[in-house]
Amino acid sequence: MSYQALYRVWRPQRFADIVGQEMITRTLKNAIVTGQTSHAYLFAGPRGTGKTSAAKIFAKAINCPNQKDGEPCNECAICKAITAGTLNDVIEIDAASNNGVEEIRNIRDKAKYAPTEATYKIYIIDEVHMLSTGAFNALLKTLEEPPANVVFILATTEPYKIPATIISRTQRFDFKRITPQDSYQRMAYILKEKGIDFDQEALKMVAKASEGGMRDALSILDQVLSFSDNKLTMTNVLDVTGDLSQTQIDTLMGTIQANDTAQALTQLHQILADGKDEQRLLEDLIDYCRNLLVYQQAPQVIAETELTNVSDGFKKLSQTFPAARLYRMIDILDDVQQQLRFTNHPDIYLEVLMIKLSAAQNSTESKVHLDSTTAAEPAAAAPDAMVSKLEDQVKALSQQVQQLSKGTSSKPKRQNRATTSTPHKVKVNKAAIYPILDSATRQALNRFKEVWPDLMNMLSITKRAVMNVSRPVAANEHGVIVAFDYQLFFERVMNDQDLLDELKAGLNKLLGDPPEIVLVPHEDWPVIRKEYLQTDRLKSANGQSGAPAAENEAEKVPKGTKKALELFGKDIVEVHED
Amino acid sequence: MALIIEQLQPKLVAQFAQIITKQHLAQGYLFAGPAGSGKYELAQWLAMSQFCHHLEQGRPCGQCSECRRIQQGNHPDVIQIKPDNQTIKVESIRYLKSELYKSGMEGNRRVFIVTDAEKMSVNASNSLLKFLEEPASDALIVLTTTAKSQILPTILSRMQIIDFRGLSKQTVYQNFLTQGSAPENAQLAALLTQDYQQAKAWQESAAFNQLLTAVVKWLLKIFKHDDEAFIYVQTLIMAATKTTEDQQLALSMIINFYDFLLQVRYDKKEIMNTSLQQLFEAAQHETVEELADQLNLVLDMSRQLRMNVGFENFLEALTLRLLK
Repeated sequence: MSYQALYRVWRPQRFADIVGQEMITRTLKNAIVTGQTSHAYLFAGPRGTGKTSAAKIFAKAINCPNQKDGEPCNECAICKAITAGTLNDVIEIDAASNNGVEEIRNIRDKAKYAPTEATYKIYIIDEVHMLSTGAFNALLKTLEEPPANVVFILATTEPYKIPATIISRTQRFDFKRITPQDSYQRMAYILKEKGIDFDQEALKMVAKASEGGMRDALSILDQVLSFSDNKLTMTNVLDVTGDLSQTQIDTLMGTIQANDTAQALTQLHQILADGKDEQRLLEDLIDYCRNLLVYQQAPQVIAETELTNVSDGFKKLSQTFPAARLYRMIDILDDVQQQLRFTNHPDIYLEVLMIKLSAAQNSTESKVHLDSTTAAEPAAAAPDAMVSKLEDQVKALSQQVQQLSKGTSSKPKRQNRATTSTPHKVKVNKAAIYPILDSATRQALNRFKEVWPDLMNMLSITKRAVMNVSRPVAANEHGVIVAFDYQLFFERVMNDQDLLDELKAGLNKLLGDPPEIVLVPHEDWPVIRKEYLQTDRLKSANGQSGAPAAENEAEKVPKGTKKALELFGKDIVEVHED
Repeated sequence: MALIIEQLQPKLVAQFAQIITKQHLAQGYLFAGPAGSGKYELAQWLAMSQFCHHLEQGRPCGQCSECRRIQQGNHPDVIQIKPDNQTIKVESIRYLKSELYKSGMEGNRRVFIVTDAEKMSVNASNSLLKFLEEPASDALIVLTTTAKSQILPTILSRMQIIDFRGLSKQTVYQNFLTQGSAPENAQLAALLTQDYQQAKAWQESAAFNQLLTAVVKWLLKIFKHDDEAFIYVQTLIMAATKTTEDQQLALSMIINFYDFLLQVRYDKKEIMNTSLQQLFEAAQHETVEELADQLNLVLDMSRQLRMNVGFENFLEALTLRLLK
């Protein structure tokens, strides 16, 4: 026979053994004693609170011939048979595996037959929330008026999944989470029975880690015992549950309080390397923040009701942590806890969390803190509290000052970035345009215009989309001026060195030499040309360069031709003398 | 022959060996921990320990016919269920359930190993509950998972949970170095995997390098707040991610690179890898809070992938949010 888990060995066999559910067990016992049992019960509650156990005990108690005060004797043949699960009249059904209408019909049909050995025929339908809708509805009529001597007990962890029509036909019992104190008592009892020594603090830790489930508590206990040679010490427990030790969490919160992000990250890595559980870490932190808050208001409550003991580090932190910051931290922690459930990168989430928690608080936060303290002032009558609050205020203010001085050093950097990242008007490179215009020829322009579509085809689609709104407007042998229809695209291309290089390379391929490319927005082009012409005229007026040949020639041609040349340019106009 | 798992998780192996000698083995275990931390290997080791002919202080020999059959997946009494793609299919669970109530082929002992148990459907998990609570006397059932929080609480409360600690990135890095990887490659690979073979394979894979350059280019554009990042999603990243594994890898790159950039701010490590150096320089102007916010956004949005949002849509949405 292999080893049996503690929770199976120590499954409650009497109502008195079920811990933390006195209300329910007393009601059931009374019902049995007075013979006022219902024909259908619904046991709902979180995992490990005793639903299935209670159902089995109820089956025994109602059938046991020697029942006393509603408790089964656990000695008669019937009790033993039910415990072993061999009695034909107590039928335990796993609704998760038998969730169809067929199975329910089966139950309905067999329920008609009278019990064979026991007085009552008991159907225990476990995990009943998994029944299909059809199955639930098939059960309705039987549940409302079952044959005599038949009792249905439905057990579930998720009562909200059960149709209202089912719930209204049953007596509903809501099982509570088991308090740490109760599960502590029960485990201490079991350990005593087994003759195992235990460390009280360690057992308290197990009770806390079980989160209200007795089975969880016993599973953890089992694991600790099996891993540690039947000794129960704090380190063993922390190894199994993945909780942080008191000192670990004290120091971690200390570094967070001191806004020491680097240190907080190192500690986080240390904690994770120790194999601590991410969810647990978050829960521990939330718990700790909550305890700090409670301790700030009512120190005696923590010592009295909680299973934790108050360490020195905790006391120190409770004095230095402003309440507003704790509230904010709990909010952040809660957020991350929700997100952690669906991620494959919990460690990275935690790193971000540490940065958020320990990052220097901004000024709005300390303002909030000030507001909250002033709001709370009328309530605080004790002068001591007033003094400490004032101290807090001073601290917060001095922090603010510090941050302000810190802030100034980082500000210029940010502004810098803003200027570079926000698109501003890109200057047209006039110095590059004028030389091209100086020697611009229609032939050169035509040459570029010819290859332009080919160039566009050489670009990738996205780039082509950008360049589609562009066209060459002037060119000489070594350079081309490209105008863009829209300012936006102009700026975009100006900033994109990749694209410019690509254009250059493309033109090089098509024309044989890498030309200079100058970009201008189309709307600015006429202005630039005008400016150029003016400066050019100025130059010629100064007599620094010889007047352009075109003008000299134009003097000789007749007026009409001159006008035509002016309008269309001399490359297009052919003058035929006749 | 020393089994791999004895090097990977020496402490756990020692603990289990002790439990086995004391005959204190529970009936259900849940192994939870990051990928590559040896969960499956330990499950196999446990299975071997149940059948091995030459058990020595609770440790299987790894050489007898039983051990070998288990290692090769041929033992009729060691039943393994694995997810097919994203989920564990109903057929597998049906098969598992039908097997759970049978006795062994060769002996009485039976071992069931369900890998990636979080991928069971709600129905499947629920239907295992009753069995897990009171298993047939000679069954040992081991579930492994990388996401403990996604497992039903009712299952968790019925199992003994063993947390596997993953290796820290620093140790992985050191491991890669000792195994003969160049520091430059080791630094990058350590961010993405713990498996040296994998790291080595990546180093020579053209597809991996294409993906890497795509992600790096995209990130550079993001840090520059350049809208072209949006186009890179389509032209570079999607072109480099053909399979879901590639997509997972791309996501893991984005997340881990961000994380690296954050880490470097604090521990001032030397950056060996050129890609990482590029990213580091490009991200200089971002404050720690901004980086953390961006990383948080990535993590947050990556949840959508679980809800069957297409990878391209996800990346594009992410790009837009990051550029804002």
